[in-house]
Amino acid sequence: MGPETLGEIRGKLRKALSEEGQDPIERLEQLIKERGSPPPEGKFDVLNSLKRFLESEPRTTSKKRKKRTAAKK
Amino acid sequence: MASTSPLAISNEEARQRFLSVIRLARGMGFEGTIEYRHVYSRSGGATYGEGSSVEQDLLTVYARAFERDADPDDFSLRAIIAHERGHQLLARHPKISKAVASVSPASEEILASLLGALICDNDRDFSTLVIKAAVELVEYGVLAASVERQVQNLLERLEALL
Repeated sequence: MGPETLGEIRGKLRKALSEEGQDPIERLEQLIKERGSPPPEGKFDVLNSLKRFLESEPRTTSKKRKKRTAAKK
Repeated sequence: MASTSPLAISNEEARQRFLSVIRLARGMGFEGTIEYRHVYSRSGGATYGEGSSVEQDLLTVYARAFERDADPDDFSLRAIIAHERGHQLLARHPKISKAVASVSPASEEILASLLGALICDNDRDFSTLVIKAAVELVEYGVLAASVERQVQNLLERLEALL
């Protein structure tokens, strides 16, 4: 097993999808739309799983939030 | 700088970790020697070593695997061990080893994750291992538009061989 955490893998996925010039989640939504019907029962829904994976980014800590808020000022 | 050694644990805790590793790995069908080492390694938490025979194969699980298991945004111990069992299946399974005889190390990583997903009886571990494989496919140049088809084809082919 490689040393990359799920968080790092999420970052790579964001980067790879952003290279197509679109927001990564919007890009996946577009691919899901283009695909049409979801995969038949018993088959893994890869695109929706990737989308949920990107959306499941852990919440930022209050420390990080404070830092971000301070930076905006 | 990250610590170069894990926090000390009691002998009893080390024994409990070893027993957890044994239970999970044997439950997934791992053959050969299994060990737990309370040290950091350059691996992501576990390694599979191919021996001269299946009895000589070696699964080593390191302290990092337990740290990752405790992180909700990382792979579970079960997923880490399933991925290593995937490597053993690629090397030892009569049909799978023939089918993948000439694949590159990068492809082997992807296939080990997909095989690991197939032998995990847990939805979250299945998803995280398939996502790992899908992201690696995208990284290696598979277009996002076709990654779903590629992953499903590979899962079907591996499942048929298992």
